[in-house]
Amino acid sequence: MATATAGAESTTTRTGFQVSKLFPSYLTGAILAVVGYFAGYYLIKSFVGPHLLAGTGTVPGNEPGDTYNFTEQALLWGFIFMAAGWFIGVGALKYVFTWLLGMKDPDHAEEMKLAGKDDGWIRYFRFTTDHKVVGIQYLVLVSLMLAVGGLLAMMIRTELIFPGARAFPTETYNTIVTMHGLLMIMATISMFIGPFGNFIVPIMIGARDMAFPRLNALSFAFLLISMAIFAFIPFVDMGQAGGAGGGVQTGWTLYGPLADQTGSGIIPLAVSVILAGVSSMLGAVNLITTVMAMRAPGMTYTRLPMFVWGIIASAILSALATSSFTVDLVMILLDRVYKTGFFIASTGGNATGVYLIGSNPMPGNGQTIPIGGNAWLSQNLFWFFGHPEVYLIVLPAFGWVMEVLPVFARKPLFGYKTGILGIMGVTVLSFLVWMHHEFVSGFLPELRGFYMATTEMISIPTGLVFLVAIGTLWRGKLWMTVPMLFALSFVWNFLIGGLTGVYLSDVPADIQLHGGMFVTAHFHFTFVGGALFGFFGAVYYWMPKMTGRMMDERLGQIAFWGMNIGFNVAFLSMLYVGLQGMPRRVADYDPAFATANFITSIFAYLLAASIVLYFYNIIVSWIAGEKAEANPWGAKTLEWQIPTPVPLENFEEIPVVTSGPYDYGEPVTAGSSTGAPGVQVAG
Amino acid sequence: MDASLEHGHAEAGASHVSHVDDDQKVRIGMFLYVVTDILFALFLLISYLFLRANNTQGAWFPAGVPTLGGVQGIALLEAILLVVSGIAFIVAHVGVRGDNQTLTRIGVVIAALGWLVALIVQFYFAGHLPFVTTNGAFASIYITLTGYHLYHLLFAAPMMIGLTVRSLQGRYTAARHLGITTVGYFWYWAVILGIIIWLLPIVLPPQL
Ligand code: HEM
Ligand SMILES: [Cu+2]
Repeated sequence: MATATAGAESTTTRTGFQVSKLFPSYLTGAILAVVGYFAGYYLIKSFVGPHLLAGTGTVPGNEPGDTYNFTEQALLWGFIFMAAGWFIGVGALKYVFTWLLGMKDPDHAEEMKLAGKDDGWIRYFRFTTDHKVVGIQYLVLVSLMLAVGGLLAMMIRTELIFPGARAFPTETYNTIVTMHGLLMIMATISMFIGPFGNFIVPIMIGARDMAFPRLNALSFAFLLISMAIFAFIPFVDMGQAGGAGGGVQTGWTLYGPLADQTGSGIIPLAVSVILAGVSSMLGAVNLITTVMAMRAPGMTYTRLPMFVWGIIASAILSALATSSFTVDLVMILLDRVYKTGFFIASTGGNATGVYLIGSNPMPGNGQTIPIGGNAWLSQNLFWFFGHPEVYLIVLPAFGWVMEVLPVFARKPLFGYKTGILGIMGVTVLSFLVWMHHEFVSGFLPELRGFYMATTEMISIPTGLVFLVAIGTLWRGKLWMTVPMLFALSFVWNFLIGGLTGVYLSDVPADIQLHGGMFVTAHFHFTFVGGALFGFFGAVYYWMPKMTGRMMDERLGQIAFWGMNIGFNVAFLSMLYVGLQGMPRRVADYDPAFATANFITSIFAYLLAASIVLYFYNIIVSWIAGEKAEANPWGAKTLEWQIPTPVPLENFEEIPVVTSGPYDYGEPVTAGSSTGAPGVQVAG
Repeated sequence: MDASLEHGHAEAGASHVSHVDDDQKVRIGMFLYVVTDILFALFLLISYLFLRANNTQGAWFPAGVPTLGGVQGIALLEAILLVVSGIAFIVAHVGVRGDNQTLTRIGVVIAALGWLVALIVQFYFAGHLPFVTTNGAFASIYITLTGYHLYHLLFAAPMMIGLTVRSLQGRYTAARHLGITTVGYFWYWAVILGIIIWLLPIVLPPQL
């Protein structure tokens, strides 16, 4: 950021903006992405479709139109070429070519150029390897994703505000629900690992950059193109036989045969989510390697800040679980486009070649045959990812809460190793519980007891984390900053989320509650009240380091209370209608549920308004906020010990770590750079 | 910066030299990448088992569809080519450790040739399967698995070309041969998957 103002100051070093800096940049990437899309689309539609495969008859059953779904195939290859064009356009593949052609390896100067040295604002709009630039890029993109996802949520609540309300056609409503779910999942998966895993974690462990800076820039490029493709979902309608039209009506779980039948929006959706998954896997590999190989001397594993542990746990889950969902999505695409039969059990007896589930012309004789696919395959592949994924989202927030409680209680963390045990216990157990989502699916009912037990067991390591949190607060002098408020609200909201989860893991209770609003309310307490509010707190906490500006305290307090009141009333009311028996994913409901739904909608608007206020606060403070000192919170971790703005290579000299990160309570030496009120308090 | 560092949990270090072992870093990264790749294949293999165990109406391998027949022979040829390539790769690795440039080059070139022929054979294989994607659950998962193997072979292209070019340039020495080590992680795994694909229909035949 040191160079952001350089253009104004120095006429000697640079003469304004050079157009050559746009080659390559996201602009060239976007151009080649558009070219790629049309190339892929018309390659299939005008060439491969009609000319290559049509009526060749060499392979039995391979007739045009009935064997493959050509319009959706064109769409699929359009998106694949679009992504390829994008990566070429942003210059992501340059190093691959210089490497394979055996050219000179890039020296330090070239690496620094790629990291955006002396580049000004343009480095935020190109393939830049500096982890701090990537962190800011992620912060902006994730915020946009949350904003769009939030808008979709408000559409849902508007539809549900009165029984019988008709804000949207039902098909559109279902698409909105699906998009809201998946967009928010992708946003929350990236919201800690992206901005803070990139910007903060390398500094926290005393490294100059991530282990693989190019891979880092690449994971962001993956997420960006993923989002561009996601935007196609509501607009593509390839005229599905059966009239499903555009959009995707399945809900975020994209269950097997349903995904085979839904609107054509499933094509961009699946491609987009696969790309986002690859992005998160690459990011995870990068982060794990960074922490394993790049810690500063003396930064032993037991001196790692808690936030790093949270990120690592999350990265482990991401690396190990995401492929399961990717396989599921690939199968959905193949089922749709190449008419494989992964999730289709039998035939529907339609041999005319119209694309309908189960109509599968037998090679040669036109007879229909059983296919032998299985819908449970989809559920298992989805939830084997799906449950670890919920912890993938929430564990960085666990880590963050344990990170800031000592800072604002000005006390050492109560039970550092207990906290690690809690985080790691959750990580391991989260692979053993996925079938609690299939209690009523009819799949292996004998195993329900086992999965009930494992699910309830997760409350033990979770309890350890709560213990650490409470123990840290105990008799602390609390400095009630906005990040501290968010950390405290995390404890409260996640408690409700966790407790309702215990009810759901109880098989008899779940048989009643499954598929209802109680489930929706349960996971919103964990995702929104827990993880998302943790993210908001984390933005507030690290904003001074990342942007050099303090955020406005008063606006932050107002937004905090608005969010928490709005959220709690809205979702407690939703828990209540859930107990009354209201099903989820419906566009309309029985008038008996009217009052509670009205309350939920109104308070959801309050929640949204407060989040808007929060984003307003970010933008205004970023532009014109009070200048931040290097260590405004008086915290001990390394990121606060270096100047703001952070220099390009973070540390002039790599520090030697001599103690744990939470040794608060020793008197602070005079001349400390911090004017923080709590800093003098000895715990 | 240095003064304020003392208030944190660290002191300013003395060294400008990087404390990071770059080789170790790349090895960890490539290893983790291969782990994610293995997991993807693992979920496909589990799906194979799952569909075989849970198919309805005895439809695992529908009557009227010719059995695997001749392609099983092609799969064997593919596996043999991959094993040859893998062994050559080991030879290259041994060569480079002993600073034997000739052995390294011979090993890498044979490994790359094995890869190239395996790639061509795999395309031929994909074109001569006795069933198409629409022929039920077995066809679906088998084609997807072999497709994943094909993807590996395509993904290996830059690695194999790069290794050949760079070893012919003499860039790999006993002290520095990270490229050979880490591409090896990927390539040995690709070889193993090729063998698994050949074995799978023999160990767990399509007909129930
Ligand atoms: C204390 C631990 C938790 C327990 C015991 C628990 C238990 C459960 C159970 C049994 C269900 C299935 C309900 C049903 O479909 O009938 C469920 C659903 C769900 N939980 Fe949790 N949960 C816990 C924590 C979390 C956390 C931390 C998150 C997210 C960060 C989360 C997110 C979800 C989601 C997204 C669903 C429903 C998905 C769907 O059906 O569409 N849960 N939970
Ligand atoms: Cu779960």
